[in-house]
Amino acid sequence: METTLMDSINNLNIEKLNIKDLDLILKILDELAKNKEEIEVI
Amino acid sequence: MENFKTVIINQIKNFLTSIYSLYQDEITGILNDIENNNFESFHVFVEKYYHDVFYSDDLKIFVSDLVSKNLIANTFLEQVGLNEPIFNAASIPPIIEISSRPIKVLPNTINGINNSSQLNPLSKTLPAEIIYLQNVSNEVSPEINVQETVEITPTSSEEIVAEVPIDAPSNEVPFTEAPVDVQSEEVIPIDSTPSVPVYPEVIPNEMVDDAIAPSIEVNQESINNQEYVTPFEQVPFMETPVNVQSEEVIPIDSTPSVPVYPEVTPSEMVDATPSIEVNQENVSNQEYATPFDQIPFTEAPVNVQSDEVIPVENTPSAPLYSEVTPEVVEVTPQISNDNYTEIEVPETPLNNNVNDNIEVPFANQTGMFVPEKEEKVEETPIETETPTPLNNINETEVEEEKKPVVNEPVIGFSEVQVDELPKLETPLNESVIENEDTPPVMPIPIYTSNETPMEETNLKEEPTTPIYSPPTETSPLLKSIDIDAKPELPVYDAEAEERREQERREREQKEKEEIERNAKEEYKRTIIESQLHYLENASSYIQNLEDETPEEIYNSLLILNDIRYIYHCISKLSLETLNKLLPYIEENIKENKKNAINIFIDEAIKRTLHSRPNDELEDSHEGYSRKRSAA
Repeated sequence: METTLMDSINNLNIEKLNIKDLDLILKILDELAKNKEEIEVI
Repeated sequence: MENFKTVIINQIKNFLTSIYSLYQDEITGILNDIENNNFESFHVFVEKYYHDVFYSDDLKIFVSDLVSKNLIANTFLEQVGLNEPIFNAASIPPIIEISSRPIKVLPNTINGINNSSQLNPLSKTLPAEIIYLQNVSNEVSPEINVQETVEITPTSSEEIVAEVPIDAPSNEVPFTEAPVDVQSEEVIPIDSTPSVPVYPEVIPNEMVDDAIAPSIEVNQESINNQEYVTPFEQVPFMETPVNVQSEEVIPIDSTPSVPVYPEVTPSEMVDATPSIEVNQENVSNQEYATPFDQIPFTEAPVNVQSDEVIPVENTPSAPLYSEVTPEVVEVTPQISNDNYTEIEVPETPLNNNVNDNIEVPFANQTGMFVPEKEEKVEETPIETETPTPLNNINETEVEEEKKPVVNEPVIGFSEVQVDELPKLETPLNESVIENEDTPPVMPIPIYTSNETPMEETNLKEEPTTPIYSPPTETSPLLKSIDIDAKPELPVYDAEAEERREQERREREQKEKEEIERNAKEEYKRTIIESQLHYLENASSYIQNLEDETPEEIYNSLLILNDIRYIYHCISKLSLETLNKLLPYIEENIKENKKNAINIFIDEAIKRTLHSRPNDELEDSHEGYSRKRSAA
C-alpha cells in the first residue's frame, strides 16, 4: 500500500495544487489512514 | 506518507498565511486547529469560500490513481464530491470524455438555468459549455419529440448515478450538482420513468436529420439495478455548474452507440463558420462525434492560412529569386559591353590619328615644330596623353572638349582665338565620324573633359584660368579686358571676402559683447531690485515689531546682517520705540555684548533721534527708495 501510494504521490505535482486540492488531499489522507487502521484491525 | 502529509500541511499553512489579511479571525483559528492536527475547520473554510474552485488535473489523476489501486473507495469519492468523473477521467479514452461533456447538460440544465437564472455569482468562470447552452436554449425547440429510447449500458454502478437526469422531467430538473449530496445509502429506483427521451428533446430539428437521429435506448433493467440514484428534488439547486458537467458526462460515455455529436452541435455553430461545410453524413457515421470536432472550425482557418502561406511563400519566392539573379547577371555584362564599346570605338580612330601624330609631341617637346603650334594645338594634348594609361578616356574626351568649349564662355581660351576653335573641332569630329561610323555620344566624360583638356593641353594660360575660373559673370569682363586681368579677379575677391569676413567677425564680436553687457546689467538690476525688496520687507517687518520688547526688536535687527539695512530700519522706527530700544542697547554695550554692532545701533538710534524733528531724513529715504523702485 505504501509503495503504490508513494507512486501516486510522486506523480502528483504539489506546486500546481490549489487550496481545494489540498483540502481534498487531507481528506484522502485521513481516509487512507482510516482504511489502514481498519485493515490493521481486521 | 507522513512526510507527504507534512508537505501538504505546510502548503496549506503557506496559503492561509498568504490570505491572512482577508480572513484573519478564521484563519487564526484554522491554523491553531491545524497545529492540533484538526482539519475540520479548514475543510469548512474551503467549502465556504472555495466551493467553486476547480480541482486541478494533477489531483484528478492522483485520485484516479488511488482509486485504481483500490486505496480509496468510491463511496468516499461520492461523499467528497468526486465520483465517477474523476475516476473515469483517467480511465476513459479522451475522445469519449470530450464528447460527453456538452450533452450531459443540454437537456436538463438549459431550462433550469434560464428559468431560474440563479447561477452562482461567485462562479465567475462559467464553463463555456454552459454559456453556450444559455445562448442556445432559446433556440431549442421543446416540441421535438424524439421517440427513440435511450439505451444506456453502464459499466459500473457509479456511472449510472450521472444518469439521474433521465428520471426527472426536463423542465423541472434544475442544474445541480447532484452527486455531491447524494448519500451512498440512498437507493432510488428509476422505474418511474420508463422511457424518458431526455437528450433528444434538446436536439433541434435543423441539426439532426431523421436518418441521423440518435437511437438512445435506456436499458431499464440496467437502470433499475442501480443502487445509487439521486433524486433531483433533493439536490440543492445550482451549485457549481462545473461539477455538474464533469459528473454528468459519464453516462453518455457509457453509451458509445449514441450519436452524440449531432445533438450538441446547433445550427448556429455551423452557420457561424460558413466557409466550412459540415458533412452530415460524416457526422452521422461517427459514433463518437464529439463537440470538439467543432474545434476544427476554429482551427480550420488557421490551418487554411498555414496552407495558404506556404504556397504563397513558395510561388513568389521561387520565381522572384530566379528572376532577380539572371537580371543581375545580365545587367553587368551590358554595362561592361557599353563601356567597352564606348571607350574602344574612339580608340581605334584616335589611336590612328595619334599614331600619326605621335611624332608631333616629341617634336614639340624638342622644339622642332614651334611654328606649327596653332594648327596642332589640340593635337599636342593627345600626344602628351598617349604615354599615360588613360589614353582612351582622354582621347574620347578630346573630341567632346570642343562642345563645351563652344557652349561655355571659358576664359582660358582667350589666347587661342575663339575663331580658331571651331575650325579645329570640325575636322576632328568629321574624321572621327568618318572613320568610326559611330555617333560621338559620350555623356559621362563631358564633365571630365572640361577639366582634363584644360589642364592637360598645356596651353600657356589656360591652366591658371580654369582653376580660378569664377562663375560666368566674369567671363564677359575677361573677354573684353586683357588676359592679364584674369588672375587678379580671384585675388580681389579673396580680399573682399576677407574684409567681409573680418567685418562679420567684428560685428559678431560686438554683438557678443553687447549681449554680455546686457547680461551684466540684467544681473545688476536684479540684485538691486532684490536688495530693494529685501530692504522694504525688512523695514516693514521691523516696524511691525514696535510693540514688542526691545530685546526682540534688537534680535530682529541683528537678523538683517547688514548695517545699512539695520540703519534703514532704525530710521523707520517711531520715537517711542527708539527711546525704548536705546537703553537696552546701552546696557548691552556696558556688558560688552557684541560691541561692534551694538555701538553701531546705538549710534544709529541717536542719529535718528537727532534728525527726526526736521523729518528730512525720512523724506530723503523715501525719495531714495522711490527712485530705486522707479529704476
